Amino acid sequence: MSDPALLVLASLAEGEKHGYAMMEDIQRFAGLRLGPGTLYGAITRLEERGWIRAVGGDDRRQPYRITAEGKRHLEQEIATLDQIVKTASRRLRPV
Amino acid sequence: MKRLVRWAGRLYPSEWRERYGAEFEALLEDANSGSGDLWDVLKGALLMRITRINFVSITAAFALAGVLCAGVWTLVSPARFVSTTVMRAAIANAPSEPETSMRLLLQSEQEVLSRRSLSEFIQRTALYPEERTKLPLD
Repeated sequence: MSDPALLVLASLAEGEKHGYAMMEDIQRFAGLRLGPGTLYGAITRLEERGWIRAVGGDDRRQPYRITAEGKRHLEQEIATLDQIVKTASRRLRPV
Repeated sequence: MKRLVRWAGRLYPSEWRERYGAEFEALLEDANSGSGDLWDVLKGALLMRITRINFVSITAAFALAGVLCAGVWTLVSPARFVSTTVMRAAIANAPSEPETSMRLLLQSEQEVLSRRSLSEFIQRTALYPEERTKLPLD
């Protein structure tokens, strides 16, 4: 799972975070460092689709929260990925 | 390197910077930016500009490019002149046989359209001045 948008959704599923917190969280759970351009490209697309929304921040570090639609999309993607993983694992098992 | 990355952040479209500019700069301050981030931000700015182009802008850009190409082509392509005329010839003491008259007419046509005759005409009337400086008449 290396799609930046899915990684952002997975990070926000835990709770609201600002950009740098997402970057660190994604590096922790996926072992992948998203660059600032990639991260904000994903944030822009997700916000335009209504899957995340900005919540009031005190300073320039704007936190984001996943929306109900975003959660539904993430669940669908996880189900698809789960199916792929199960199929691939079964096919790799020696007969 | 951080200063370069921040400069690259200014390449994003202005409406995007109005919405995300402050928080993006805060992220650049927090992140330990390296050369990889510079490339990442440049790529992000380019993609953001491409995805923000609307149909009207694309049409206007192609129309402008078409006008420019046509203008350049008009300037660099050589001018061509085409003219047509109808000549009526009356031969004094014309022979009675039509075949002889036709032969005389064809001879006159060959003489008029010969290279020597056309070269003389072009020089006398100063036609194709630019082309004559680049190419010989022969």
